[in-house]
Amino acid sequence: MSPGAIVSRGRLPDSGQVRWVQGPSQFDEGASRKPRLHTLGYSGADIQGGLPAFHISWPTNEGMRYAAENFMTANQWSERVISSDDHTIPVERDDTTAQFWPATMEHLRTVSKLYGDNVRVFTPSGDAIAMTRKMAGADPVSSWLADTELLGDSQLRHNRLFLTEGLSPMRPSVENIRRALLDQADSPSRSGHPLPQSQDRRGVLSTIMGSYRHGLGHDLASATTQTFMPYQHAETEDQPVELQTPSSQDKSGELSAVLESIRNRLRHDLAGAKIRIFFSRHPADLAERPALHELTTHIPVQQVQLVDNAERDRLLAKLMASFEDDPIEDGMDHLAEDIIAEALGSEKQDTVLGWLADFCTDMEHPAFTASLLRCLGRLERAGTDSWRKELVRYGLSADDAEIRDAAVQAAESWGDSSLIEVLEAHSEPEPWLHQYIVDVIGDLAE
Amino acid sequence: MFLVRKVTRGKWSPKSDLSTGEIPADAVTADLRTQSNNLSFWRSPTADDDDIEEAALAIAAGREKVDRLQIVWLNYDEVQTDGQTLRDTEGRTPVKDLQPLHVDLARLDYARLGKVAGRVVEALNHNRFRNFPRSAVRELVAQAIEEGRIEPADLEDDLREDVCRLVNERS
Repeated sequence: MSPGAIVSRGRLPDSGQVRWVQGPSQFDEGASRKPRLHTLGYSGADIQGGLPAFHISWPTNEGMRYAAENFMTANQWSERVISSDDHTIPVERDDTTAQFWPATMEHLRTVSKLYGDNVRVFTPSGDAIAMTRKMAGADPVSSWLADTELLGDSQLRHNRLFLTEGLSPMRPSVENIRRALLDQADSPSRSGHPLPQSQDRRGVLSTIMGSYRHGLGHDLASATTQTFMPYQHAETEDQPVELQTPSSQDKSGELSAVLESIRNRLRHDLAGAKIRIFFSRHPADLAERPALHELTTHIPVQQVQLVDNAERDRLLAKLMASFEDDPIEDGMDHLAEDIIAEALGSEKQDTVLGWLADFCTDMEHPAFTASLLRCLGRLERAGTDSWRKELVRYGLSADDAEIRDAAVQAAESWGDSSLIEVLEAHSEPEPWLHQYIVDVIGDLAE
Repeated sequence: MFLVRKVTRGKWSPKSDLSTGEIPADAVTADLRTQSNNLSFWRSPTADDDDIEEAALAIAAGREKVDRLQIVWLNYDEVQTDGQTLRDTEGRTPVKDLQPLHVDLARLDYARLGKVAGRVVEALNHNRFRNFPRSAVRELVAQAIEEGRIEPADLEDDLREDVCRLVNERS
């Protein structure tokens, strides 16, 4: 492996193969930095009994950035991932003894040893694994998780592929996931839709929408997840959503215009859709700040409400400024608490909770994310159970111990016993933090 | 003798954008914030649990609310060999008998503050660190009230309400 190379490995939980994607790094060649591995994407072939085999792939945020910088379309990306046979790991699968995962992970661990500290094994959340195992008729893998050293991949959760319970108050049922898989298999064209590109290729905008109409039917009470295909806009009947290239001058306005367009199209069909917008910046912008700028917005469509990105950005700016002015301190009040309380006091409480959750997924600014998590923990019973649970889970998946610590502190402050399972599912490498987690679990259990 | 100070442990952990051994500036600017070029510490005669908990109590009781408390303790002799100026000052804590244990690292400049940061890292590397979860902090303060070492009226409102609830439950 060459220094600074990006090596990405990915897998689908129900996959018979694990593929890696390797590419040159444009992000980790700082003189003082160790080469790091990034997961660019995931790929796999379905091997579930009774279902036709199909390939599917999707990029992580890192992969989006990579693709954006290399002007890759969705198809090019997929080809890149799927054709990486040289890094394919064969997987032994045994439906009856549920040995699929241990065998896969053992193989990955073996490979990892060759690369020492530079290799990490990524995994979706424990819940996601358990879900997919249930789909295959196997037992949950909690016992396996307990003795396997896994590092959560925070990026993966940005690109939930029929895996996530997300920040949505509703969880996908196993049946919905199965139906989504079936639909995906029946409609291969949908997975090959090209990425909309502007003529000058200044940036990429893709919309990712819930797939209630793609096999999940209209069971909106439970169907809030989708077989998302990043870099691919949802193709609905004969009227594709028009996407515009964002300009640096008025990103908010253009995003709002896209949302408006989507909203208009869906208002008659959907009662509880969620819309997520991913916006990647032009490479020139990336050079200034080497990070994918993701704007993620959850909007209950039935409210027919235009997202006020300006308001969201204002909240973000105020929070950032408050933490810069005065770092949050344990046991002491902080201005950010008032800012958040005021924002949540508005009529848009659900929207604000979505914004706050999105802010907390900003792994590019770990100090901010940690501060915000600690602050949110001080809000008594903020959000829903699932909202809190997902925030803690997400925080624990971070590379930075400061964020993981903040997630534990938030769980401790909320005092919610339902968070015990999230804490227990986490494998913490830092001894001091591990002990803290043990203490908090003990306290929450009382 | 040791010098105890609260920290945010996670801020001192390795950062992806820093090399091994480099001290995160965020940790220094957040956890080693000086006032009038002084940095507040609490003396602990030993590193025994009882002594460390006394310092923790002094810190916890002076805060606004019950929250977890993370502390680190530096070796007094090593700090002195760094050329630091130590000045005994009365500590701002409602635990009156602990007030004399307070000490300031005074006359700090950029270089000497850097040495303090280095000592913090050293202490953390030698596991001279303890995390008191909320429940432990609450217990520490409640016990001090029960022992008559703290006058509840001297506590900040939120802290008093929280801790006195526990005290009342037990009485």
